[in-house]
Amino acid sequence: MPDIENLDQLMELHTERLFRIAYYYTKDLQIAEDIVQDVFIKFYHHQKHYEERGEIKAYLARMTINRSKDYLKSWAFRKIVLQHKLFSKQKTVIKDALIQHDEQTILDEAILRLPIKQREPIVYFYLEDMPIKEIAELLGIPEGTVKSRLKKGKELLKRDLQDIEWEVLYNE
Amino acid sequence: MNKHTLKVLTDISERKETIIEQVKLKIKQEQPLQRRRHWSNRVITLTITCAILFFIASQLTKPENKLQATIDTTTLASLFDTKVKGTDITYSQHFQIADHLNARKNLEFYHPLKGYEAMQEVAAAMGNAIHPIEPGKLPFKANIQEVYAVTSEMADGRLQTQLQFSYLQKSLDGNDQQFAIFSVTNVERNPLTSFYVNEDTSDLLGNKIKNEGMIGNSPLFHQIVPTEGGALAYHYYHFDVKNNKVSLASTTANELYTYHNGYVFHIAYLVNSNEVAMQKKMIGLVKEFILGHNDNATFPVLNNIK
Repeated sequence: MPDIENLDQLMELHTERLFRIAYYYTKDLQIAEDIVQDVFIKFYHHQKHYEERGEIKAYLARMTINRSKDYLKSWAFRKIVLQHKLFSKQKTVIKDALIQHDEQTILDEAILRLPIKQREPIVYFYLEDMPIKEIAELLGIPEGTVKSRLKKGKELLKRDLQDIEWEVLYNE
Repeated sequence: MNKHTLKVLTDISERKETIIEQVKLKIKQEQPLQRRRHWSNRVITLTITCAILFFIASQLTKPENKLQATIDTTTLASLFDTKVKGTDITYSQHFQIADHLNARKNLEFYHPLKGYEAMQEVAAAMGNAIHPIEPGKLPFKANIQEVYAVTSEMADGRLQTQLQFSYLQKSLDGNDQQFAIFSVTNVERNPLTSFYVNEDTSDLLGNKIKNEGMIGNSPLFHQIVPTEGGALAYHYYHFDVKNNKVSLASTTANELYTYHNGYVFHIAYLVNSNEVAMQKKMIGLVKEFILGHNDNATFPVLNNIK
């Protein structure tokens, strides 16, 4: 039987990071919370497997990514996207009228608007401080692909944020 | 490069606490349930596995299903020493699909033996696998007792012998007015295992076939001729003296069918009364013929039925 105390320690160490990862994909705090819970519960029941798969940190991150991508493919998510498309105009008007976006919020939204393929290297590289090699291992793609997606992602962001001075990107 | 953090993720400590609490709670809730499910699954799996293994083992070892009948063919051959002509054979119209006794090949017909003593001699040659009924026990006066033998070859080349023990009440003009006829044939395997469950059924004409129960779980199927409507034909051997030939007589009669210790038993009876009490008496006599005793208690009132 897996040790609940070990799980406590693991959750203490990794919850925040896994939550961020889940959010990068789902863009929904509640869904991200549910996904991380599922990941830990699944891990608790299948704890023995991680030993065969290398570092636990990477293993938990992969579980979270997979679970998040499963959610994006799910009918529940597609229904939300459809509702968003149908009612987006009204929501935008309300938002524009009531909220004054600051620079960071605009940047965050731009990052989250990126397609998954480009969003992944951007968030891991810039937001999680992960080296290219580690990103490649986590996503199971060659380092060269990570670099090219990163480059493409930056271009998309620059295009999206043409009128804004984006310190992070220009100071790289 | 300064590390950038999404604004919405700047402070997620509360989310972290919620996640940890929820995970602990869910695991705690799961544990007793899982333990119960775990054990109940084990018990169910074990039970099913044991049942399957037991069933397979019982089918493989069950002596009843593939018991080779032991017939003293030498003695039997000395009793039935005269071959006669014959072409047609008897079998249950309903159960032929199970026992395939309609498809026997390399047939040999023998001159029938006469009298109750002959019946007892044949029974002895069969290792007392059957127990001829004393004529006085029958619910009619049987003035003829005969034993017929028809042999054939089974698929593996072994001899198959069908013996017909006839108790007949023959009229002066030669008609069989009442009868009880017991046909016994050694078979390779129990035909009822794969074709019939131990439940009541019905024949091709929709007439009810009742399971009277033989011994243990073995069925004894009983076809009763309906008072109205048609019934399947019943054939039995009789001897055509003029042509020195074993022929078939056809009629309708109440029929019983079972398998016991390597033999298929096909019994028919035709008596003037077809009341339930009469039928029960005949069932008792059939069991006595097969088992040597009648477990179905005694029917004192039935002894008066003649």
